[in-house]
Amino acid sequence: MYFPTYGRTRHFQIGSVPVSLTTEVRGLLEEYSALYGDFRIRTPPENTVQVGVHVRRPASWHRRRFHVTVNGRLQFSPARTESLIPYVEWAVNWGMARLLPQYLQLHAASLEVDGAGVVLAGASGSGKSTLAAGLVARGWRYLCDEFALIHVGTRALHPYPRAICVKKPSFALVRSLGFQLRAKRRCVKGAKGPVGFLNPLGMRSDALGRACPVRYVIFPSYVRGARPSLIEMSRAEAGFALHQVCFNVLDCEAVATDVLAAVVRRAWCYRLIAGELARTCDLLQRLIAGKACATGRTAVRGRLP
Amino acid sequence: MNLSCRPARRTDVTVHELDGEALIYDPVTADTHRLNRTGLFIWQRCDGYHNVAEIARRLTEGYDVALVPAALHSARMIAELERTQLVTTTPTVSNRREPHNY
Repeated sequence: MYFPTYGRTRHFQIGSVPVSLTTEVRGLLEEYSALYGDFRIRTPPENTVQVGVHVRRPASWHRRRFHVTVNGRLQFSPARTESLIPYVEWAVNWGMARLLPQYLQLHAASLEVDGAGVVLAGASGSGKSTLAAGLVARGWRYLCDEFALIHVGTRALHPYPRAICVKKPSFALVRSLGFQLRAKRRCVKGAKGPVGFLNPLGMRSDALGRACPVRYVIFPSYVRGARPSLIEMSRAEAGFALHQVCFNVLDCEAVATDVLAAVVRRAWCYRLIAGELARTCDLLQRLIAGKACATGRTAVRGRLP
Repeated sequence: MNLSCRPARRTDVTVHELDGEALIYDPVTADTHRLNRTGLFIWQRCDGYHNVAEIARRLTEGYDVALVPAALHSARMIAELERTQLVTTTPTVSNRREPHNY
């Protein structure tokens, strides 16, 4: 165990995820609060993800390092100040997997539109975050850009409105939507390189969605210059693909398959070839409105079972 | 794969049928498997009574496929299910007499 000795603490309730951040690093709490100030709370509930960021100065010839802890355990030791916010985000993700077993945690962006939950699942670099920002700009409600939290009991999709993490190539695109990236200093997120963060409530005052049933499961993959198109997937294929992007599948065991089967049984499932953002968002809006057809086994959308 | 083998599916796995396909959870290995329509068709007939040849013949009745490709497909599928320990196969004792070796 790792015992921090000093630091200021602030508590946040970010959707369904309670977070406490303790640090003595100057400016870090303020920077985190600039992203999540709207979610600050006075008293943390039980099962809070407690993240600590502390400075460690080893022997003089070594570079200063930071220790990032989750509920007292050392998780990361980054050296660069500009990596701290991304590492705090990772630490929260890490803690969630252990402390919130009531949710199945999928690597997916999640949104709500007209009370219907939309899961945009895929690997890093598939364009989930940029697509989520584009759809929020069109009035969809934001749940999360990195997680789909599905409650094991109710099968509902729950919000975790963390700041949208945008990679450098998408900065101009996001600014063209009228959104302001929030970061006092430059942020670097591992192999992703420079990233910027979008405060979800800074995008629109009513941008946050509520817990809702999953109605669409979509697997986007960004292909530069491609014409956006939807390809229908079988529910078993979608359930299997969701299983592959489930973070806490080993903790949930059989329940994970039960929940995913129940989710896809009540959802329409597609692969999305995502091209230019505006046209891709147009296509998804037409899909939700029931005006878009997918290629695949059936061209016309049927009724849900 | 011997066509006279009688594959038997495990009964301790959880099967979720979804529009004619299936997700199968194996509690021993904690793996999840996906079966397409023909995969599920074959799985459902791995009951320890049908042998591979009979399953292939049923496949030709259910789908527009000739017997030889159906037998190849069934044998390959059952071998894969056996490899992932979702079915066990019991060899059938042959009625043929062994040739004498003089």
